[in-house]
Amino acid sequence: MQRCAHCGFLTYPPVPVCSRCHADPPAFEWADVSGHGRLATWTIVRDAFLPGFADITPYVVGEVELVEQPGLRVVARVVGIDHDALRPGLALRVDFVDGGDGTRVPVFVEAEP
Amino acid sequence: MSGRFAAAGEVAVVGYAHSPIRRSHDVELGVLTLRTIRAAVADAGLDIAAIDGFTTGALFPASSGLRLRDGIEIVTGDWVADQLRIQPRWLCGFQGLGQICGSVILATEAIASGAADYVVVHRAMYNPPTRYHTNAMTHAADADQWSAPHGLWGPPSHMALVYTEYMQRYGATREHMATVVTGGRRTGSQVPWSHWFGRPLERADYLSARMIADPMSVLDCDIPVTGVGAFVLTSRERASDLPHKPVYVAGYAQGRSTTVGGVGPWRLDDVEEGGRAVARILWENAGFGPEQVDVPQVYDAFSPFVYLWLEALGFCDRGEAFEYVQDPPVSGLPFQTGGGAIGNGRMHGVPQMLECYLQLAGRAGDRQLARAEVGLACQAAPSIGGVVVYST
Repeated sequence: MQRCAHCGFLTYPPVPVCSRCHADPPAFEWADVSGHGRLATWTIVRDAFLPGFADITPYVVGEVELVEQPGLRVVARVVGIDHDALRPGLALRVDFVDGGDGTRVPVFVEAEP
Repeated sequence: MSGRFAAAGEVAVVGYAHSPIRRSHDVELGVLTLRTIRAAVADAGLDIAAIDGFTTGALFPASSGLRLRDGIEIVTGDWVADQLRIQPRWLCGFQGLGQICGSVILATEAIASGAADYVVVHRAMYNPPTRYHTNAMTHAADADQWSAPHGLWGPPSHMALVYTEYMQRYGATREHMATVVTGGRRTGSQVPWSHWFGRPLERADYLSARMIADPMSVLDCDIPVTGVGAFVLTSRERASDLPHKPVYVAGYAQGRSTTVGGVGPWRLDDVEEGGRAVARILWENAGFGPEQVDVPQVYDAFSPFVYLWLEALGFCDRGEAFEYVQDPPVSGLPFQTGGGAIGNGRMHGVPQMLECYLQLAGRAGDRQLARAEVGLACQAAPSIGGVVVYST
């Protein structure tokens, strides 16, 4: 996760200038995050517009607010949870799945209580 | 009504034309555009040679990666001026979001400053034969890398994230939205050039519509179409010599995103906060507030925009629009008399502006409201789009 070396603000996706302190010159570092967060919002995709996704419809894409910073949201699929069980604030943790060509793609699963 | 906008009442819309809105036409988009612009200029009682300014926002809003050729998939003001063999005194392309509002704002400033006397504002929309947002990409880079690898693609799914959050936070349901969508289709079915002319929608058909990305169904999205709207604007003084009652630009505002990071173009908190900031600028410029508006035409390319705009502009409080639209408390305030995008097709803000013009000019025919002195037309998301108010 991109972190401002001046003020510590985390930003996702990465930006050229810190969204909080706007320091000049900008300075950033990569920070590890816990992979824990809460479900902020979601959609159940039934009509996929990209190759490779039609085979797995319907699937859930969520915005997950990471525990490290209020408002810090990442987008990823939310897997292994009944659609009816989706609710704001649901505790999630990251997992990684094969994205092809040697890539690993983050997804979120329900966090153990 | 005296706000800080010094050009209020100085620039007028004096004529219009609209092509039929169809899934496809038998002529190229450029040809349809030239026909529509010529008709608008004639409607204004002018000769085409009088036109000395052109502007549009030519954005093609699809995510399919389609090749864009001027005169075929898009039509710029440059292309129009060239085809009409006019050397314009003023020519400007709007690059932001809320293309028709932005173009009207540019045209108003050009006329008020004296840079141009008669400006054509047009918007040409194209429906490709391929699917609008289906993209064959197999590798994602740049901004796409944050959404595509997760299967999040195209504006409907981004809007779905905002809409889910709205529904969860405030308790709105698809039953509430059925009122918005069937209402737009009901008025749109009375608009002669509409794709949906003569085809209103039943609530049950809305509620059983195919879902694209829950909670967005296919009917929560305006249908992709090919069509052109064109308007002629000039100064108050010149307008007084023309056949139709002038409709004046009374004020405007444009948004910018307040997003502090995020993958999609919208986030509910940002749309709400940014939208209220835009509204404050609008009402300060105009010198009046929402209670003065007789003809509020709010943007509805995705149905949740109706809620977001009504709340941002102050027609109702935050989180209350889904109830407000069921029974508008301000004496039946008509927010969708022109049918909007849901009732006309994907014309990107043209239906909103056109309805303001027709109602305020007294040209709305069977749909004419008894009182139509102040209109409002907006486009895109409240936080990043545009809004223009009009007066008689």
